[in-house]
Amino acid sequence: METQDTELKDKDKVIKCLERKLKDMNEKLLSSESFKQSFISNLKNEIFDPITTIFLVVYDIYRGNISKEEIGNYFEIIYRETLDIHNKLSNIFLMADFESGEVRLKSEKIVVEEFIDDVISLLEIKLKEKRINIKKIFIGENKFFKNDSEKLKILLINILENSIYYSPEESEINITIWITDKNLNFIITDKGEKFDDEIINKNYTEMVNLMRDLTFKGRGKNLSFSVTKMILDLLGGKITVTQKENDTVIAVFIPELETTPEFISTGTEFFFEGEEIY
Amino acid sequence: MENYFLLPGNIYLTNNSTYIITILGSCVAVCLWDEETKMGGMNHYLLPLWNGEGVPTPKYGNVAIPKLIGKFQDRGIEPKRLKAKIFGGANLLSGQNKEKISLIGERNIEIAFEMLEKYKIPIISYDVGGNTGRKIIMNTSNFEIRLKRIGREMS
Repeated sequence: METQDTELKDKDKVIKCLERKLKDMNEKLLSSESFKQSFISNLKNEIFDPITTIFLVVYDIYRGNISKEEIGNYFEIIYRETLDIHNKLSNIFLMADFESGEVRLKSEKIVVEEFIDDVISLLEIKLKEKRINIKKIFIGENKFFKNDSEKLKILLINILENSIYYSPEESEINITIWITDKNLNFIITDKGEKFDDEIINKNYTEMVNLMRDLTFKGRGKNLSFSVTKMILDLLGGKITVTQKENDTVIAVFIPELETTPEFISTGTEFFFEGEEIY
Repeated sequence: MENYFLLPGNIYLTNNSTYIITILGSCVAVCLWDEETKMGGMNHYLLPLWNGEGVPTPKYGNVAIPKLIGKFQDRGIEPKRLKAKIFGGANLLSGQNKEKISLIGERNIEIAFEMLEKYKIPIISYDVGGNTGRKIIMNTSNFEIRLKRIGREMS
């Protein structure tokens, strides 16, 4: 009788444990479903709406409804929206590459100052809109850096776009760049909204979910930041964020990418000493 | 023969004669091959399990292994046709972090064996654990894997 009671109690415990697990699973599914819905709605806002704007503007130009005086403004709208879609899609496609495990790296010689100027010029329209001035300081004589320029461009655009987005109008963003021992360092200082303390404490070590990233708008918690973190992981770089009085200071370190990994592996190594065959 | 260097957290699959090369520390690479089509693939994962918190990339074993198998399935190759080889999972650190990293390497190895058993894919050879890194080169035309043991400082 006593043994039966103990067995029943044990079974009860197991059932309760399973129930708890099922409940947890259900909550996760519900939350995932809710993310999926907001993800689709957000994707529509982020991608489809700008395309509709471009379509309508181009249609007006095509129909000749725009005066010569206005046409410059219309082209500015097209340029701004296209650039925005391009940046968002670059992040989404790179994230998709990370998710499918198909990221490639290409080592190139980058002229750093020209590269930074190129990135800033891509953000010119956003800077102009908010009347933000970017002050660039290049320190040292070393001008070259070897890395994957495409990934670096996405990374820098993401960080600067974030700074512009959260900076007040008519403010200044400072970017200081230098190369030490072939490594690229840059510090971006803005007067923007401060990062969530939680994010600072975690120091970007925690990756956030793609769906949440697209739907959450807080500083440091959106898709561009997740992609930034993944690029830094891939390149062996580091990012730190500190807040000093009214400034948010973002420091980034990226080591040189020696050579294209494909290049490292030449045919000669197939005959190395001490190899084992499986 | 083409060369392809597989980066950590990535997957590569091809039916062209290719040398897939990767460098392993505590990471594990699962190599799969289909004899009929000479289709060969490899993953290189860093951690055993995706805990549902971050992005489910092939950085995690429980994501990387099904993804690699899925890529074969996308090309009409079912798991029962595949053969596997497993490498890596070393313990490279000494001192305070030794236990933690050793656990990662061991769990990386365990997850490979567990998941391949789940898919009923036979493991025809493996070289795992130990305390040295490995450089492996997989020839996708005959599934031969050349291995060289290397220093301790690898990922």
